[in-house]
Amino acid sequence: MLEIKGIDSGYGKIKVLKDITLKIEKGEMVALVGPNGAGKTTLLKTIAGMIVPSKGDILLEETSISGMPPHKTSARGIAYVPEGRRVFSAMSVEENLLMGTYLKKNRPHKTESLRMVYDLFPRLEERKKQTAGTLSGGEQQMLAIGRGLMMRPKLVLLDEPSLGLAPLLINSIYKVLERLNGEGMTTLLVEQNVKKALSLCKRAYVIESGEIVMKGPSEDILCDENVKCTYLGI
Amino acid sequence: MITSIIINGILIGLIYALLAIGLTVIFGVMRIINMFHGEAVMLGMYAAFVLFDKFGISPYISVFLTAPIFFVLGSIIYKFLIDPIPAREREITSLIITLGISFIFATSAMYIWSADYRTVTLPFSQDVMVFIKTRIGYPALISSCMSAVMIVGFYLFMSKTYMGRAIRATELDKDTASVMGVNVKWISIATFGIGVVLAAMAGGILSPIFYIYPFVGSNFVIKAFTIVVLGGMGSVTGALVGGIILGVAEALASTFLEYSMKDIMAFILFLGILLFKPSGILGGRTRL
Ligand SMILES: Nc1ncnc2c1ncn2[C@@H]1O[C@H](COP(=O)(O)OP(=O)(O)OP(=O)(O)O)[C@@H](O)[C@H]1O
Ligand SMILES: [Mg+2]
Repeated sequence: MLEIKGIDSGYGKIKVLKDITLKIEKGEMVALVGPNGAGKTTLLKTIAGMIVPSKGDILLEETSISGMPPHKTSARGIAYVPEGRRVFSAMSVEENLLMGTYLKKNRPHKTESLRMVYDLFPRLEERKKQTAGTLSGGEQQMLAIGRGLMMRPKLVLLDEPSLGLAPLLINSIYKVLERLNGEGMTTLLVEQNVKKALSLCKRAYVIESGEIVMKGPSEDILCDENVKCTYLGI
Repeated sequence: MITSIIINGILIGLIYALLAIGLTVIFGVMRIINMFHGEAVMLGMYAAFVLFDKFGISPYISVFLTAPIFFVLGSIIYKFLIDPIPAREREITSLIITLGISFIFATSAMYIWSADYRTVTLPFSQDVMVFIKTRIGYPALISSCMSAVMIVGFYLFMSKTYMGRAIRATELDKDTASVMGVNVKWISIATFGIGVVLAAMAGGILSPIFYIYPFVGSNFVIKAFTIVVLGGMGSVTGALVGGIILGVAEALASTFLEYSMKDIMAFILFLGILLFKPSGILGGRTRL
């Protein structure tokens, strides 16, 4: 589904990612974990097309999407759910969700897509007329995820969906992610909450200072001594 | 008497609101202070004048015929003169560039049509109707109603269509809008084009009730800026409220003070709102 081949990326002169290689198969849910400032968000932004990599290639279903602007990568089937619940604050909940069907090919499915998201997050349906900026943090996160799902994407890039949420809410969001993965959605999940992410995903990558330092099945990574002491505090 | 002043103030206020909407939307989405706005109004007035004078087409119809031309004009100005400005220096450079374009158009208008005052005299220009003891001229009434319809139409466009929502989303968060599939560059060009069309249409609608001359734009751009500041940057409902306030304030000033006081009401309101409520009368958040 997604293949990243040795990319370098960053912001202008600031180099952040060095020679990143990563692969996700169709239907897989893969975790990307690492400390603050490691470059996780930078990698997702590069895949989504918000940053153009200075080296390497990004393939989506065997075609290069490297250097494509975000409005084109989204048309190719990538949904990026940004860090920090970037909802359109002055628009209503439903208007936010409808932005997820902006692409022409998704417009005819508007009603079904809304139904699907409202079934996943009933709270959003109760508040569909409310201004998004006045939702609670958890509700905004549900909205950001829901809006991404409205795009009926082939690949979802989720940037820290659990950040700043109460454990109960994290569990309910993770239940939704698990269910969607069960239905065949391909996901790259960025998390600080390593334990949680690795329990959900079968495979993971560990990134530190812009480089992939470890990859493999989640159990192996959880057993690693370094990971144990750095991320799990054991 | 006071009711009739207020009724007339509201009627002109509706036209002022239409005048300001294009400006507020352009500022909201692109943070561009568009000094060309007044000249777009002026060009709209002359377009209505020429089509009426030469072909007898009523301004109320010709505004729709010329709209596509003004859309193209706005898009070209944005694409070639404003979009290339680096993001850092956008606000100030775009102000200077649009000011320069204004001068070019105003001077050209002077060259083409001379400094004479022109009027569009419709067959019913002298007719009046009486409503709650208020004498209302037919052209003013039609212009106001048309403005009201266009404001409502624009509000519906911004709230109910994909493109309108994309314009608002772009205004709120460009990056996230682009991830949703919005071509932000194209939306910016189109928004500028729409802003110019709204200004030109307001000009056309105004032409039966105002004198037309090459430098008329500067008069209107001040009113439009006042309304935008009154109603809050980027807000359509704010422009409506601000337009009516300005219209009524001018009507009151010209009756109770002196006719010449009318045009400084805009400045007084402008300074007053900046001093006491800089976020606009409806409050700070970018509402539609
Ligand atoms: N817009 C930017 N301009 C310049 N440098 C940036 C920019 N955004 C991020 N960086 C830098 O790039 C590096 C990686 O940042 P990134 O946001 O990708 O980290 P992250 O792994 O997502 O961290 P976190 O877990 O805190 O979200 C950091 O050193 C950061 O300071
Ligand atoms: Mg991050």
